[in-house]
Amino acid sequence: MYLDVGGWCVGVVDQHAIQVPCALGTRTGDLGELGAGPAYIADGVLHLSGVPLVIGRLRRVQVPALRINPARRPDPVIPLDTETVGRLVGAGDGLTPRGDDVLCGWLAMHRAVGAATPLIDEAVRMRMQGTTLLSATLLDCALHGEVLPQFAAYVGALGTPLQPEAERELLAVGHSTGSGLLEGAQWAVAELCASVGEPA
Amino acid sequence: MSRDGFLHVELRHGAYADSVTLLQVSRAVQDLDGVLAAQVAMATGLNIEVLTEMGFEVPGEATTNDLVVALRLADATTLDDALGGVDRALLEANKRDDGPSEVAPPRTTASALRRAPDGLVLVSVPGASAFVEAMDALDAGNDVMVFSDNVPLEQELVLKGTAEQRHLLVMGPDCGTAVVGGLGLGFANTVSPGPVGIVAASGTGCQQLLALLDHAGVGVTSALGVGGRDLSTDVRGISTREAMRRLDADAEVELIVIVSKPPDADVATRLRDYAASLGTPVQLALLGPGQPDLTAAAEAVLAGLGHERPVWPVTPATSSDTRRESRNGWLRGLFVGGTLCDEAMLIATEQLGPVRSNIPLSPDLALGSDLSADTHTMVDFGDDALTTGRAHPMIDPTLRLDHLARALAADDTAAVLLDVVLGHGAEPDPSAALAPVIAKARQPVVVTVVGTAADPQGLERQVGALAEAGAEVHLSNAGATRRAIEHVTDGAIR
Amino acid sequence: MTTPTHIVSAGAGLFADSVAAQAVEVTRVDWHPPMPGTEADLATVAADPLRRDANAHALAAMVGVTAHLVDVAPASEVLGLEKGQFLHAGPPIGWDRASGPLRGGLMAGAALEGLVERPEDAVALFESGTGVEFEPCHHRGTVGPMAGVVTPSMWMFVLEDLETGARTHCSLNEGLGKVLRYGAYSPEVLTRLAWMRDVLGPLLQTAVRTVRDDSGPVDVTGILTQMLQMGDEAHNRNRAGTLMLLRDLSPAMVTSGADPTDVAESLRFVGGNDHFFLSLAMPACKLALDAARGTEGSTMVVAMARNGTDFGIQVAGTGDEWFTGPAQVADGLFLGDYGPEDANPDIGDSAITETAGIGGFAMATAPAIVRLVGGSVPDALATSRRMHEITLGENPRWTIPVLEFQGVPSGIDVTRVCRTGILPQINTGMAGKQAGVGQVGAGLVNPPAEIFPAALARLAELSRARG
Repeated sequence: MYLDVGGWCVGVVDQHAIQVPCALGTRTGDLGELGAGPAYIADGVLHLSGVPLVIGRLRRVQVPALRINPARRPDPVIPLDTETVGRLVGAGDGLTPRGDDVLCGWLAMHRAVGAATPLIDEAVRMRMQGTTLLSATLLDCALHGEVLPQFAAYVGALGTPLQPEAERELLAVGHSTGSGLLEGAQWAVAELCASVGEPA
Repeated sequence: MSRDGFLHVELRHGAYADSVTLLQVSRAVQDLDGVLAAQVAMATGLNIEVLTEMGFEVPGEATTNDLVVALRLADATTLDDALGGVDRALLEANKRDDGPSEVAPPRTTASALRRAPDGLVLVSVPGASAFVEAMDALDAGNDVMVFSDNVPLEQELVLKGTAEQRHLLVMGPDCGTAVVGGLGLGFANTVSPGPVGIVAASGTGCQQLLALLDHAGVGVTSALGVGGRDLSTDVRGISTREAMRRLDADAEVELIVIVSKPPDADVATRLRDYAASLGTPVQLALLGPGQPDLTAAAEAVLAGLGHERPVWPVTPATSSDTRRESRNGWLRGLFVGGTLCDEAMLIATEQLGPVRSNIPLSPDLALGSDLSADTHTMVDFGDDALTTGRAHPMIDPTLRLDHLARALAADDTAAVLLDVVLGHGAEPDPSAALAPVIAKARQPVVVTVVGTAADPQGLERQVGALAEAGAEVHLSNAGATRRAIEHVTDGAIR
Repeated sequence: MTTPTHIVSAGAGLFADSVAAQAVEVTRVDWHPPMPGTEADLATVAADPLRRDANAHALAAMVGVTAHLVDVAPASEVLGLEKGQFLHAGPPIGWDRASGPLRGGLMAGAALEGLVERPEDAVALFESGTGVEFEPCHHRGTVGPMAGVVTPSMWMFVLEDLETGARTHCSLNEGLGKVLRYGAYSPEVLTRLAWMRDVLGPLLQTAVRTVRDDSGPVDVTGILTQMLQMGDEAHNRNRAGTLMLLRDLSPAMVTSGADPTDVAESLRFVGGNDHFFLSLAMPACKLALDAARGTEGSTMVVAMARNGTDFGIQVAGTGDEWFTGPAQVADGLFLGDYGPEDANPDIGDSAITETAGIGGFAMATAPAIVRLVGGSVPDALATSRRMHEITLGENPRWTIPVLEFQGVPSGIDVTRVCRTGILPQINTGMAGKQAGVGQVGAGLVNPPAEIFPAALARLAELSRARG
């Protein structure tokens, strides 16, 4: 379930749902029942139907650091530009339109290698209103390098024998969310290789 | 203590519940109509002493496997109701909302692991039985944390020797605190994930580090406890090495820090050599006379990560009633954390001279069982001898509160130094019981609140409540200690 | 280190609560202090470097045995039993301590072998002790139900582990009512025993040998596997097993060349005795457990047996030692007007079925037995589950359908019994205290608790001696 808290989306998800980085994860309680009643925040604690959801643990949502191998021969690629950002934001159906997922993957991958992307970041921020609250929040997460566990695992597995399986796991997320993220991530890698591979 | 009323004492052989459960039961029974006082506890030596103090006579044949139900009633007619209440409370306390009730819960760790083969095992049964449960874990190929204390050395050696062969990790025995990938086990704090990995031979030492780093905005991936004896000449750091190996292999850990009392030279050399062989930088925080304290260790970690050294927070007493005057007298330290007590003692000894304690720096400075002396004293209420058959002071504050009240009432107490440890496992609102006692103090009271921003008790609220009651509240135990010492020396001059 | 996905917590519930509050799955161990005085020995045995692998080996050895019915022959031939020698159920015992049913069985046996004219005369013989010797069945690779008396002329089933050549034996089951195994020694008992010796035994021998030589010996373990899926638990209920045995042997019995009247009589006898297969179930279990005997460092129980006065166990890692205590009176339902005061203490080697994981351990698979012993179906399910707490593992070949085909709990572990206080659950018939009365009821019974700490102490002693 997703709540609007001060203009941002805070999710409450059980163990079977996608563990989005902007959500509280829980293993107990019937979320369906909890969602039936009022929601409010008291003393910094979210209450659903009077049940306080006290945070007991902080999960790692940061994308792992990655080093791009500068010796890789770059494949030709069209870099993401601000105009394309405009076309991608909100493009598609569902709570997280595919265009947003692609952007999230692209942004988070840049954060992973520590590459700043001020122009794209600004373009995304300007356009965030044009999509769902959840998707806008996830774009903001991606701007900060905060990702799904399957995305983090994928980044960690790049260049290792675990990569194919990690890719499969990522693709399995949601309907198109996983493939959108993957596309964005691969796009970013191609761009980064291309830029790093150029002679100084 | 009042001796009025009708007394009833009975032994229940073969009944068993852990000390925390029995604490809840005692409290529930105490609230019943007609019950003036109640104590339901296992008949350990310490508990029998407490019961005798309360005016109850415990039958001589009671053994530690017997449950004692001791009631002081307004009159005899309410006995049956009261006993009914005891039975209900015991039943309630043992009920767990675990899921389908048709399948009985597992009775041994081995049985549990057949149902959950990937489980990391946490053992907190009485020390005499901890080894057997822990071996179940190792036999199944699982890591284990042994919270239990009073585990004989030879059993620790078998556990760790076995673990070493199988590349498993034994955290403990007597490991009170661990954070594994963000999950707090035992008495642990809620930390943000981050670049630090801790290996700790001490629980509250680890917790102090966690709190300081959290305040400085630096996260911790894992804090692995190894038990107080791991770096002794007998055990020689088996678990410490495995813990270091695990943290070194974790890509998220950029700096490893080891917290312990100073090991002997040979063990220390081995430790340094092993640290040097790892890819991740390792800092050693080996507390002891002349060594940097925990706060200095935290500062070294921050420096190692390129962070600025923060100003550690101090919240002055906000109560506006009678100023607490320093006076000539002794420093009284009452601690729930052993390492915090140690650290305070080291600092105090340097500046004030010999300090007596139940965990003294040398045997000649030991305290008697009444825990009092005509000199500076520091008491660790979490020590084994004070927790046989009763819950740890972080859960059950009664013993310390009792001594605190007495210390504050004494004319020769110059200043009082306390630690309050927050986090998982600790009582939900420590300041609730402490504040009223501190409010009555005529001497300066300095408190260290060891906690992180996300701890369940609410760090800010606890600090505020204690400051309201007239205590000066620190995050740094070393800082608090120095402040308390100032009060004592001020008072001595006066 | 990654965040654990599951925590197993043994001890203060508080710590399990904290883990649950951090949204991680936790399994709580319902821990209780071990049997009084066992902590030190438990630790010694837990620390024994041989233990884990020894137990794995013992369990695997037991589970891996397939018992085949290779012969039927007199005890004098296959056990070398001589006139004046008597085997009996349970641990070693002498005449003076023997209970009614055992005495009655011995008296019948003495008359059968011609040592005395009438069974009643045997009392003086046994009291004198001259020319008579007693030995537990177990000491001769044999198991005997109830009194379990074996004499030279009695015909025995012979079971063999074809891989190792190891063998076990058991006498043919007489049926219900007034029988030797319940201590009866009336003329009809002796008449029946004589018929079994002269007609049934030889006929079964022919049939068994024929089947063995033509298509391979009857796979008794295989029949047990199927029985358990058909409502038998192989101790108190052997109906399906008996019928399957009959199916395997009757053609050969018919073509044996024996007098058709004898064949008919034999078929009727076997078919009408729902317990007939017990005489195969028991030695099949013993054969499996014997494979684990002598495994140094193993804490697995290889025999549970009662002689009507004592209950004894033998353990894989303690050789031939018996650890004994008083046999208990079962708790259950009584036939007719009988009551608890009529019941003899627990008797028989049939607890070998529970030792192997069936009988009372598989009660969940035999709801009919549950009513017989005075329990309820949920009780039976709970019992089978509870026995998993004290066993080393499961037998994947013997599964219980209603428990999602979980294998029966196998390999009773002395240390787990001492740790949990849970005693093995046995389903048993009750013999009348007075010799010859017969069965007075059926119910549930446990071993006396103290024999397990005794076995544990010995295991600890041996472990220490190994240094």
